[in-house]
Amino acid sequence: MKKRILLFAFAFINLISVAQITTLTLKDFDTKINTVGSKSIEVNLFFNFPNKYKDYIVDEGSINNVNSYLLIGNIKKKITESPINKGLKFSLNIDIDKLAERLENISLNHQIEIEKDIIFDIWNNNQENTRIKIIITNNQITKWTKNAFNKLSKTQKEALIKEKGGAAIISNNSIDIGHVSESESASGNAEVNVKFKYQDYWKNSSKIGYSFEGLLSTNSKDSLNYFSAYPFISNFGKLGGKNSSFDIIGKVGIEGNQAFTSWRFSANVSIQGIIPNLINLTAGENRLRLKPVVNIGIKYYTEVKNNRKVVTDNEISNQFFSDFYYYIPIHKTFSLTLNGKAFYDISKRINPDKKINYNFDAILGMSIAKGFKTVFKYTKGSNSVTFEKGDFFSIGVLSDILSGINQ
Amino acid sequence: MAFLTRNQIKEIVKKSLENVADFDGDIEEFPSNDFTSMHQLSKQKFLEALKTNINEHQYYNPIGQVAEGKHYDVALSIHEFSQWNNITDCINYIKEYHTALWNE
Repeated sequence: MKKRILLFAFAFINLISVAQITTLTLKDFDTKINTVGSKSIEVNLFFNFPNKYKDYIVDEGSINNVNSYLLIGNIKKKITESPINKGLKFSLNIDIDKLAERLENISLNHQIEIEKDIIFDIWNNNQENTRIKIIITNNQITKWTKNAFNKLSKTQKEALIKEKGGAAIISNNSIDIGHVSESESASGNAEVNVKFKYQDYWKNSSKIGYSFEGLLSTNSKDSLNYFSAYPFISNFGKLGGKNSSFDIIGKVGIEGNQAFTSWRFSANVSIQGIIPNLINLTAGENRLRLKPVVNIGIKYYTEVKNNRKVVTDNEISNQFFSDFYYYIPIHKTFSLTLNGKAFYDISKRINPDKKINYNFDAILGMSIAKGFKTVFKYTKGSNSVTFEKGDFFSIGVLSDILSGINQ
Repeated sequence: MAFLTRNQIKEIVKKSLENVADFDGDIEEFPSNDFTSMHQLSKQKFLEALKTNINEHQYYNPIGQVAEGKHYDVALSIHEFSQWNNITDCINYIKEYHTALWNE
């Protein structure tokens, strides 16, 4: 009899433990965006897990189905709720065509509502006997998510719009300031130069972008200096279908030397993509060997002004060109970054020797802080507009600014 | 199970990195500069591979059995990539923010 009473008491205590129901308070929340595939915004609610449950996580399979809505004024939009390790997530798909309008709407007063209580278990390392049942009510959800999407930052909202067109327009924006010594410079004076590249979408456009790039210096007549501005860049789609690794890019703009004593209108079509690695300089050290990125295409141009001593008439011609970006890790801590361009002009008057010309930067660096490297840089080759040749060795600091999205 | 383990996530990240890079050792041991020096096009291709590999990963129910009806997902963007200093940050982000969704 005593045994039966003990067994009954033990079972009763276990039953209470499994059946205990409680709620959780909100620890924090944040917002995230998704631009890979379909576009969406989400708010993540992180709960306070009491100390004795600090290692617990949500049992993903235990959550009940509820209907969730984002209420903006008197407009109701279906929103999807799902669990994360330490809380809940609410995701709203964004219709691309009405993206700007949707973002404007969520700057109005809004909150998330659920049609019934959300019930789920938390547990420790998938152990059945550790389950705790949690109930989160509509009042709690409404309170915690009131104007939650106001937490989307300016850069998140811009990214939602800008990342629609793919990486062709979001380029490696960069600025690189260098110092050329008297002995290395063409002028015989110490010089400062700046190489820069910037690309972005036009406001309210997800398909058309613009860019400008150049190499300018205190010696405006340096043969390698150039400036290009393309008010039109577009990604026309993938070469060979949606699973292709290569994008088709179009660009229209002007190109000239720094003093614009030689400049032209140009229109380019090219294919941009990633190719296999060409070299391994790690000597067995554990490094991430990024594959090169290449861009191969054809350019049509019409000169407006040139500074040639012979063949002085302005030309209309085509060029085959290729540019590349290759980051090469060397041994344990060094890296060599190659940025270059090769081009072949089909005009027999401008290129009578039928030469393939090129220019490149070779930058040797090592990490000293996030985003900054102490570099030695060597630049050599032909100016792609004037065909003038030059080279220089400079010491400077390389920084990537506004890489990808405005920060 | 149900949520992905850290090791499973690390394998997904490793598989996705193969689209844009070659490597031999532990992917969390690379100098952070190797990761952050990716060309924007490489970042996009890496994220697309990551999304596909997470969505297509086998779903496990809470008692660790292979199950149908759901798939894993996580919010990804080049903006979010720019917050990661290294591959460990990427793995930790996916661990914290991934979810399981019903198939449509």
